[in-house]
Amino acid sequence: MTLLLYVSFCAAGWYSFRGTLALFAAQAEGIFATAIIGNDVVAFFIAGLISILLYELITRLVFRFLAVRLSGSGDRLRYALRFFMFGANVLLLLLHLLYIPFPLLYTYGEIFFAFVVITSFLIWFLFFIGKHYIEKRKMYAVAYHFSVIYLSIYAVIAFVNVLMEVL
Amino acid sequence: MLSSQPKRSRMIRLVGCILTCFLLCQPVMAPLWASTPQGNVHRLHVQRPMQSATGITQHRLEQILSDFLGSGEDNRHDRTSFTSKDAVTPGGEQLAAEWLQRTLESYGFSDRGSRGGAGKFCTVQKQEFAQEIAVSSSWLSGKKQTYLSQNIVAKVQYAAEGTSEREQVILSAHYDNTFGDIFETRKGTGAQGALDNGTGVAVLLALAEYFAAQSVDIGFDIVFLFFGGEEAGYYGSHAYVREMKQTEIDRTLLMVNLDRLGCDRTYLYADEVKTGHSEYMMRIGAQSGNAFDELPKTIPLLPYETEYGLSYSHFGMVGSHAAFFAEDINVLYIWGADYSGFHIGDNESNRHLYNLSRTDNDTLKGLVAYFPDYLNKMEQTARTVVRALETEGFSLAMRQSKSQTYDYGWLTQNAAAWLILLSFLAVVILVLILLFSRKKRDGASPKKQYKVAVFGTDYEEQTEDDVFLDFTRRPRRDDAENRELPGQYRLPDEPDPCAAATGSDPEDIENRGQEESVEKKKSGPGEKK
Repeated sequence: MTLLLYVSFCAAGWYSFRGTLALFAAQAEGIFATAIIGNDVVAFFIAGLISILLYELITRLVFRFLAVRLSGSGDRLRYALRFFMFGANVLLLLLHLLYIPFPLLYTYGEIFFAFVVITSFLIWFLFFIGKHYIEKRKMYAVAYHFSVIYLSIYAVIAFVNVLMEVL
Repeated sequence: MLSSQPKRSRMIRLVGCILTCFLLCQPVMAPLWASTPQGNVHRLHVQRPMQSATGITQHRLEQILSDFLGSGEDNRHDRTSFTSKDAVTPGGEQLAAEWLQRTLESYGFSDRGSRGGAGKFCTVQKQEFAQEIAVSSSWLSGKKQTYLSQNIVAKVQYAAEGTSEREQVILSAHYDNTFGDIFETRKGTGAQGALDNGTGVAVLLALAEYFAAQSVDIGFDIVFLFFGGEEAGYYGSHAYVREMKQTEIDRTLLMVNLDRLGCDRTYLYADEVKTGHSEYMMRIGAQSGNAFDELPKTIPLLPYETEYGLSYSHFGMVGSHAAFFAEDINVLYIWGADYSGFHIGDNESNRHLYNLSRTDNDTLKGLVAYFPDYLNKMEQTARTVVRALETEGFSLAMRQSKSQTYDYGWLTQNAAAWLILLSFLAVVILVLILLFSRKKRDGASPKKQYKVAVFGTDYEEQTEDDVFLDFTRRPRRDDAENRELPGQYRLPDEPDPCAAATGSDPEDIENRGQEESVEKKKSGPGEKK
């Protein structure tokens, strides 16, 4: 499942990363400036690396936090979340393909596609674990903490980006 | 049913006749179809050019390119951007600029404006500009070094310098290269810049020579811009645009930027949306036998901002034309590359592993070896530009294009998009916190009260709001000796380890526990078993 998740992250991040790699290839010299490095296959497989590492780190921290708060283990939830992230990443790949015919979607797409898709899948995930894993009386607290942590992380990212754009 | 068959056959014959006539008429009608622009310029009457660019030949272009690069003592291989730190010691870039000025003067341009035929003035001037750059070694101290560069500006106009009210077209190319270190922070590549951008300069010089020699007024002025400081970051074009007055911006019909001509493909790019001026040039190119390539839709979007105000860029946007585009001037970028293959970088050719530009192979010899057809490409581009400018209806097409191009600015505001998301997140988080705190306050989710069910209190009604601790003696089984151990107390909703271990029915154990509890009650609270 980890491998599948990695491939899905590659798919989701491929389009954005190919731009970074193309820029690198255009400015680099020697072999780095050639098709051996500057191609879509390399872009695809490198794109998922940072994403999967970040994902693993963040989910470990979040589920450990939740486990402490709710006195239980978060391993089963973390495993279940992987399936939802896989679905979200596949959908993101499809949405990113829209940039090819409509490149002007890129600005809003890069900001809103990821947020809307991942948020939708996380809501679905919360419903799922509420039905199968967590007792009803605990679910409210889980949903609350999960939502606030997730939205706060996103809010910090958005705030930093606004600052960067304004400055 | 019977009567419909002859009708149908008549219809088939009629359609067949129409199709045959249409096909037979094609040789006659084809030029008409071909000369009718599509899209935004469909109402224009693009006619045959008044003149043809007979003066611009491959031989002439080869000669100009060779002269520009020079040889022996008189070479201009080192034209590194911003090589002049002061006016006393000129660098290679300044020497190349002076050569350009002299060459243009030999074509009939003059710094005071030489009067050509039909009341025409041909002027050439040097536009100097300075750029302050933080020196790498003292970056932390904030020490800056001023570097000098210059643009060469030649004009073919029909009024004295500074008095022209006519519309104008700007044709441009950069003449600097990356031969030596730029700003002492970027290592030199040793590239002589035959391809990048000797080819563009040669075409621009040929165009200047051609238009300076023409005696017919084509209806607008032409400005030939030779940019310096391009390789360091498009400083030349920015310096020129900074000096432009609003009236000059308003009367600029089109800006054409030529770069790296001679590669396997020649691309033409104008904007992120279809524009009238790009379609116009595409059509003229097709008519001239020089079909420009359109940038493929799969071109990678580079994640950094440009002068366009977009949140991304791509290889069609990177160039001296960007500064003009930012002022809402119609721009056309004509440059050599090949983006059709596996390589996603700024690729010149899919036949070669390495690029020529910005390498020490970028010499005249290297250019001939890499792109044997480069002179043909240069000639085709030059002829297309001449044909476009000389075609009747050009000015109208450019004006219409400017007024009809869709303004998509609202779609490209990165800051606005992030701000919308941030506001949305702030509202959602606030609502969540308010809901949670309200629920807490209203007691919808009160703190659980631990109530102990001991003798005399277990008649209390159990609700979901309380955690009812029923200290009931439960048996624990010792698997090794297969016997029950002394009683152990646990919460009622806790899973019974005995049940899991032995596989026995938990209900039985529950009943047994209750029996024991009853026994406990009977024997009294103080008694121990």
